[in-house]
Amino acid sequence: MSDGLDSLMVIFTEFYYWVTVVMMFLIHVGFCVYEVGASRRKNIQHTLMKNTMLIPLVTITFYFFGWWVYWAFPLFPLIETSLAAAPFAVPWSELMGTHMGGSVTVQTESLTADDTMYWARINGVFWAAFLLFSWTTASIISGAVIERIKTQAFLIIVVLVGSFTWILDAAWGWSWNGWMVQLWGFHDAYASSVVHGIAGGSALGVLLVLGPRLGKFAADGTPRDIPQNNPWFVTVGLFLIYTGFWGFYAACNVPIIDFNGPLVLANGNEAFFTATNIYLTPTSLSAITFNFLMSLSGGLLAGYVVSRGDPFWSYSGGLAGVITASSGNDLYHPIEAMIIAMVGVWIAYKMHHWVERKFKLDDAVGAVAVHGYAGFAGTVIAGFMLWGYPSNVVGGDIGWFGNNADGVAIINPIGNFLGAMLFFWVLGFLPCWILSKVLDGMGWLRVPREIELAGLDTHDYGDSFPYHAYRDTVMEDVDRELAKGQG
Amino acid sequence: MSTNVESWSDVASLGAIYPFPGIEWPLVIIGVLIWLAWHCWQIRSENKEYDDALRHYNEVGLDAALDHRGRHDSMVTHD
Repeated sequence: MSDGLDSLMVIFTEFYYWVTVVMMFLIHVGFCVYEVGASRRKNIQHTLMKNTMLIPLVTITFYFFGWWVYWAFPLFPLIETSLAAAPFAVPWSELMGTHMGGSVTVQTESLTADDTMYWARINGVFWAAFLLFSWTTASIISGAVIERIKTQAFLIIVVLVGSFTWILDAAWGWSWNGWMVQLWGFHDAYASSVVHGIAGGSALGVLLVLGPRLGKFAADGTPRDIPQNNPWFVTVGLFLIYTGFWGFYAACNVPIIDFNGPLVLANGNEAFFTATNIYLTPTSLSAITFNFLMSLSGGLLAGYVVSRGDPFWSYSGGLAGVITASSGNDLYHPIEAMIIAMVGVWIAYKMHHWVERKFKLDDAVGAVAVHGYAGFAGTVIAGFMLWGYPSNVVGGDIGWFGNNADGVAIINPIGNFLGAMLFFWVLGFLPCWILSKVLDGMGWLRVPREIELAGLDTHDYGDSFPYHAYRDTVMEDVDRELAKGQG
Repeated sequence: MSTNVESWSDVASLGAIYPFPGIEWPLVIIGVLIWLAWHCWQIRSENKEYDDALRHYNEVGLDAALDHRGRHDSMVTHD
């Protein structure tokens, strides 16, 4: 890189994504702290290690094939019938390693000199930003299934979700040229469904096969409230997730690009430098900062009201609020974002308790509700609120549900509803339900009954945490009745 | 041995700077094998852990196991 301005833009972009990755790390710290707080003492270490070990497994598999999926599948199968070449994203590419941007000496892949220079700088941080989304998507499932799933099953499921299904949905609906964007006008800028909807659907698929924790439901079907071992850990964990979410939002943007230049519109007009979302349509960090904070606030306000001040659901409401508004938080007015967040929290809270009672579904931390139902609702709401906006910068008059005067597919309610359905049910629920059935058939899904009653921390790690006697004692009596075949 | 870089004097022409360029394919194969082998080891290890615990609970009775919950280090031995 010898041109000063170009070099500065590329190296700024490299640094920008690197910072987002560090911030997003806090999401995983938050999930671990939060799940440890939500688990009973007898299961704490199992809960912690289950969620921790998804980090290396999703990371290496995302290196082996996840990154390639994102770049190979955007047009497949509805616009192109073959996969796109992605020579910088296959694990045997020189550009998937330390590289100075000179010639690719060993391979014969068709990369221009400019491509090589660009990807040599950006590939690692861009890969990592997407990878951290992978961790988040997979980790969302973790909380729902605590205290009875075998670690082995969870770690296989997270490879499927973290390194294949979610990144396939991102290729289709969360890239500048994905077929859902070009044909359906799909818009989900900060991943209401792209990350949260699919994760909620995945968790639901696993939960249906896994079943509730022993003692969660009384003999007459009444749900029991299994007390959290440490509510303060739960709330601190959720605070950490909020913090990491700043990085998540920033990572969803392209930080600086000439909107009229060759990489976007190429219209010959004077250069206009701006941030864009993943669809290369313009936004700014200021816009999304307004909306992030207003939707967080709306979610907290609504969570406090619907739960009558319960800390867990108030904090979860903040998260669900942001998730609901995320689809359109690049464009909403801040007060619109706040109101949409409140609606999403109400839906998530009511749905969680209705599904729990109706279907005896034991979602230990409300993950299906906070991420799945809120994400689904937010994507559908964005289809109405943003109806008529151009969804991307690719023309061609190929949108199924309307195009603007430039020939670009417009955002619309049908496209966003179909997208929400596809991600929650087809790419989320279905693959995880099938995989869970297979794992269950092999005896790999759920720990034996005796282990669950005595605690999953059977290993000789020793005690690691102060004993909150009252909270565990509440459920110990239930466990004893179950051990005797009663209750 | 191949460091792949003998001088920084013409940095603009440098491509890959990791040692032994050209062995990317073998590295990928080794990496995938390590990934799969790790799963196999983890599955066996976890199942054995539960089998050991179950054997112990059957010996002492589940009620006794519940009495000692949270102190399994004194109950279950692993070899």
